[in-house]
Amino acid sequence: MPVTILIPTPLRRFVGGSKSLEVIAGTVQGALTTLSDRSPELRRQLFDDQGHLRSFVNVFLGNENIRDLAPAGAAVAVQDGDVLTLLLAIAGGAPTANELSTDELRRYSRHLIMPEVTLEGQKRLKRARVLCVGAGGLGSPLALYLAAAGVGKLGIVDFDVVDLTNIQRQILYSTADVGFRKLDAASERLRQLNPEIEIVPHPIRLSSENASELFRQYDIVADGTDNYPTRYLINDVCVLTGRPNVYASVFRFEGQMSVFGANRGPCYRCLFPEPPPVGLVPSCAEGGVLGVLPGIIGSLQALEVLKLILGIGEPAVGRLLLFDALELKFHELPIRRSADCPACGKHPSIVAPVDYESFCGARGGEAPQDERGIPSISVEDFERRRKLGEEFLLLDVREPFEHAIVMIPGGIAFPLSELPARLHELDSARTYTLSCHHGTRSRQAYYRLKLAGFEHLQILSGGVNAWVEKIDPNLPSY
Amino acid sequence: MVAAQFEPVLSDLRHLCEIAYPLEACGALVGTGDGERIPWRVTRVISAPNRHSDDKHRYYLIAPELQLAVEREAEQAGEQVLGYFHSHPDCSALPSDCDRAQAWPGYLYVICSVVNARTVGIAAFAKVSQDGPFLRVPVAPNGPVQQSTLEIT
Repeated sequence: MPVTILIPTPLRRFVGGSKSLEVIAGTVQGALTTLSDRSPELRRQLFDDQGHLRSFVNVFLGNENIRDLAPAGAAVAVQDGDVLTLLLAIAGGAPTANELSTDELRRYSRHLIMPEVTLEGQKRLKRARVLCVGAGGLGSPLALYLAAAGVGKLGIVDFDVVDLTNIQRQILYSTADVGFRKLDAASERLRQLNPEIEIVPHPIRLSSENASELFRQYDIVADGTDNYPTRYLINDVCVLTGRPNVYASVFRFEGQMSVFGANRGPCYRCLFPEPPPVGLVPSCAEGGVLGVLPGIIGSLQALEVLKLILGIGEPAVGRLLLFDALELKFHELPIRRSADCPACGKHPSIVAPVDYESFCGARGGEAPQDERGIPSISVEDFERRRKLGEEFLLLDVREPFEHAIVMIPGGIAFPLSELPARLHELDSARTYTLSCHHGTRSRQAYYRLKLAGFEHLQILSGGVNAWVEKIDPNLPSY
Repeated sequence: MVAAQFEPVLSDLRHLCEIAYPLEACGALVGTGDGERIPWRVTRVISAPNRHSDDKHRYYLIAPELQLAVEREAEQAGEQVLGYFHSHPDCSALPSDCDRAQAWPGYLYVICSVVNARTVGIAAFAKVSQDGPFLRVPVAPNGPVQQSTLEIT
């Protein structure tokens, strides 16, 4: 009798991709045997070694399951034109929190064979929840190594977009990611690296309002940010929620790293109760950073996170590790917990997150200058007035190598580093407009010139960066 | 792997998984494509009763009778069963050993993580071969967006 057999998607590749096949048979069993004669592989899928239909294969004759028609596996006759439908059992379940799959055992085998880690340690890593604040230079190696090591839940906070200037050090991203949200690119990269773990993107700007609730969802917080308001916010909320804060920062050729708020050790405020004056410490965007440096320091952060989870070794609690890349030297500064610390001292004054923007002088050195009373002019205004014939003396206080990259037309190269020695070249009766890359150094120059008796000063808001962006996008930016 | 598109059905999927909470939800994904030459495009999700006899909080089983009915219905509509979904109550959207072991190559498997009756993550997986790894398939909510897990906030 000709019988039609409908083949489920997963088995079609054994029969040349066909959805259905016609066979000649007198019974269901005969039809299946004829079918499986076409492919030994298909036979193994359908029948066990004893020739019995496998339990996860269901066969329907019309609307009837043949297991109901013949419970003991007896032959079931077919009629001319009957339709047999093969169905594969669909089942599964939720993971038990404490299991490692065969793939995971293999993936982490170099961990498992170490007596300091073993299967138990790897399970601890899997159960661990780590929040990386910032997915930039430090966050890149940090998140990559934590993901690779099998930290079970990895949260990442960032709201930025990948910029071409990031690629030099932020190894989570490739050139093709430029212009896309960092979190999207990072999540995809980390999931490809280790699909066994959970990556949780948090596309938010961390704030006093949202940090506490977020930190409570994690066991450890790693600070990979580059500004003071967020650094103090992370520190305070870590102290308030009892989460260890694995801290690091980098600048030019130097890096520092420590573990705060763990094992009754000190916090960041024990070391620095207050941020430095605005403009004193340039950011990496201003001062630059050697691309590999965050790679080294971010990897140290990852190391400390893993040690905390595994409970092994001596974490960097109560000591600030300093790295000098040019000298290739590590130094260590002991830090003691301060009884007077406003966050973790005996009588803390910080009992809830505060307003960190105003505490740190508005955005850690990147706020519009006029907020601090420094006279400033926008690039648009500057260009408009210059076109109308107004004359400006534009002092570009960036360094010579930066002048070589791009100059605002008519600008005078006057590096901040040469300013004390070249003061005599300037006339305190005249008005000077100060410009740098995007604002920090022109403010420093402003204060120095003020101290030297110059009265008529203003700074060009956003510096050459804003000029290229808003006035002449054809010029190179960096 | 090519992204699987879920036209307007992700909200249906979330809803089905949330109303089943704290039990595991399960059901079929119907649409077009094969995940290889033609991207999967899920146009409908069909809920199935969880027929696991033991612990419906942690396991699911779809009755073959329901599979048959869905297969036929999809065929008549010019579509096909692309794969199946289930939820992980209070657990991540990553496949369990059990999910990996029982997955069939060629089917698309979607897992929803539901915590406190809210869907917090959706992830899709597929096997290329019987013994091969369970690979993550990017989930595109509306068109080919390269995003593998949706964060529902």
